[in-house]
Amino acid sequence: MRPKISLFLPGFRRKKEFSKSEAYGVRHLGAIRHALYLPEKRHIVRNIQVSGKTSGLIAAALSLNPRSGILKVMWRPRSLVIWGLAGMAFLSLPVRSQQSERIQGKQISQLQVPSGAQPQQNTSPPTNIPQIPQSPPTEEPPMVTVVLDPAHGGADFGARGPTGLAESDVVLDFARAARIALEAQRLRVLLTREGNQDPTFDARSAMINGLANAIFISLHVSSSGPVGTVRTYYYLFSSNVTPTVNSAAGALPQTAPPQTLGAQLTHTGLIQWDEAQRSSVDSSRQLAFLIQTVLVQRFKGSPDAPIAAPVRQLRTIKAPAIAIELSSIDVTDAKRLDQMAQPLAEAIGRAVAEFHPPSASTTTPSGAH
Amino acid sequence: MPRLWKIAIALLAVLAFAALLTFPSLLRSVLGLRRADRTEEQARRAIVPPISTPTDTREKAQLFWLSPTSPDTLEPTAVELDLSADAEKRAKQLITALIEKPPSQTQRTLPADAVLLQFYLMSDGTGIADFSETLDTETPSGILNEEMAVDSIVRTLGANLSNVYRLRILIRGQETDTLAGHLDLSGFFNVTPQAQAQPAATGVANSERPLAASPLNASP
Repeated sequence: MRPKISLFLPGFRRKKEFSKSEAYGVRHLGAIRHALYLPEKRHIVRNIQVSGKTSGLIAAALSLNPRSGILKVMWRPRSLVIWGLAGMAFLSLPVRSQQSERIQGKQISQLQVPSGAQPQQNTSPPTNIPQIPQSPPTEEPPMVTVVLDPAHGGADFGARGPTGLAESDVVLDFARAARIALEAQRLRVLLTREGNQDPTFDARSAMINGLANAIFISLHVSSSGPVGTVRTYYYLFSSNVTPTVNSAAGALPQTAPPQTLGAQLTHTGLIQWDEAQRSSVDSSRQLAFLIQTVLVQRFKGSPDAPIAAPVRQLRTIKAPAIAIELSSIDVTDAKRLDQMAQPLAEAIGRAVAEFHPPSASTTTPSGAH
Repeated sequence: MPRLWKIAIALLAVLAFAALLTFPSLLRSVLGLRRADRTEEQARRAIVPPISTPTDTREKAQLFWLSPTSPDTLEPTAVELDLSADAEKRAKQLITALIEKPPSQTQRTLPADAVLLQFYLMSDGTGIADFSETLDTETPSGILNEEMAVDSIVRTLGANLSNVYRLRILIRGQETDTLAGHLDLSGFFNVTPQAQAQPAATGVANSERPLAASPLNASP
């Protein structure tokens, strides 16, 4: 497959694609994106998307004109050395004590997340996702892992603001801010995507379903709603109510609820992938209440309690899982959303610190099937 | 004036004249294309037969749209509609009114271009609403927006029909994973019939909202 680089530039609905003759293989796009990260032009830089397999140790040199927003892609063999040194320096910097864990998490996400942007259509459990190696049992209580999920990504921008602000970019910033707050508490933090990838629902779920003692927080921004408010959602399966109705011909016999595959699998100790959240509904609700209680203090006008709603991403997660949605992307000044990042991160950090997930024995990664 | 300038000006004048001549037809083509885009959905609407039955009677129905004061909550509005005695047709009339007759655009919960292609009511009280793909593509992305969209349908059906107990939403006859990227459409949504019991309650805050939109079972 020919490698290509696609750019989503502001003001253009269609992506601009560069062919192989213009762009050469980029093996470590994340590092390049990080190196090119310019806060004032991040909407341009971050919207780089690479698809296709690359071959050889070839690096592309990207030069950005901050004024025009034009990104030039040039062939420069010497850049391999520059990027290699920069990458090594970046990875070896003793930024935080959890740096090695973050790197480990990044490796895991790179293993599991498909490289190409794919539409979120695949509902079947992924079969090609490698199992995450489990740490050997120790006497110390297992470290809590917080999986932060910046929703959308890739070609899926999510909600779009009037100025072109994309939900996928905003939630990535939120996730990065929350990661810092959580790592300060010596928690292990993983992101379902580190850049502009678009893992499927199931790929994101697979990241956490292989972990013990983990919690999942999905971050969203709504299209509309009162600006400056936040809602926390948890998945609630209703009971298997069998509808009955009195028809004109008389009352119909009440049919017994069909035994689902999930119920059948429970006997074998396995959990049905499509309903994996069933085993963690109570703890998810508890986590949602904790977070919403903290959030409502920081974001006035938010609901007092979390909301039960069938958020698709949460259904296939076999761990405490919630979704947080901020309102809204419908702002003309992106600073209004930026200002929410820090309070949100602190609120998540505080609530997670108070939350006591079920013991590892109950969340042993037997795996959802 | 140099001869070269004169030639250039003459060429420009010829080009401008040619452009003027072709402009009306160009404008017509552009307008025609715009009209074609706009009417694609309208044409689809035309395929769907008008919903009127011999049993139609003028009734006051409770329809749920966004509250004008609190856009993250739903509020019932009494609307006079011609409603059929046949439950399937009645449901179709209600959902169509939900799409077409919001009190204001800011209170809209479903996209204006969305079309309810068909509504089926099974003998066990399961309603199946089959929408055009515009419901999927035009509903604003977000948990809140999608929840409001589904909740408005569920509550409207519950408030005006006594024999619909759960709802399944399809897009062009197909099962769909999510509405616009967030809300799970793989299962059924509980409908609580209130038509025979009491009029719909007044606007309920989000935090107190009963779980109307929750899949009963992932497997149909």
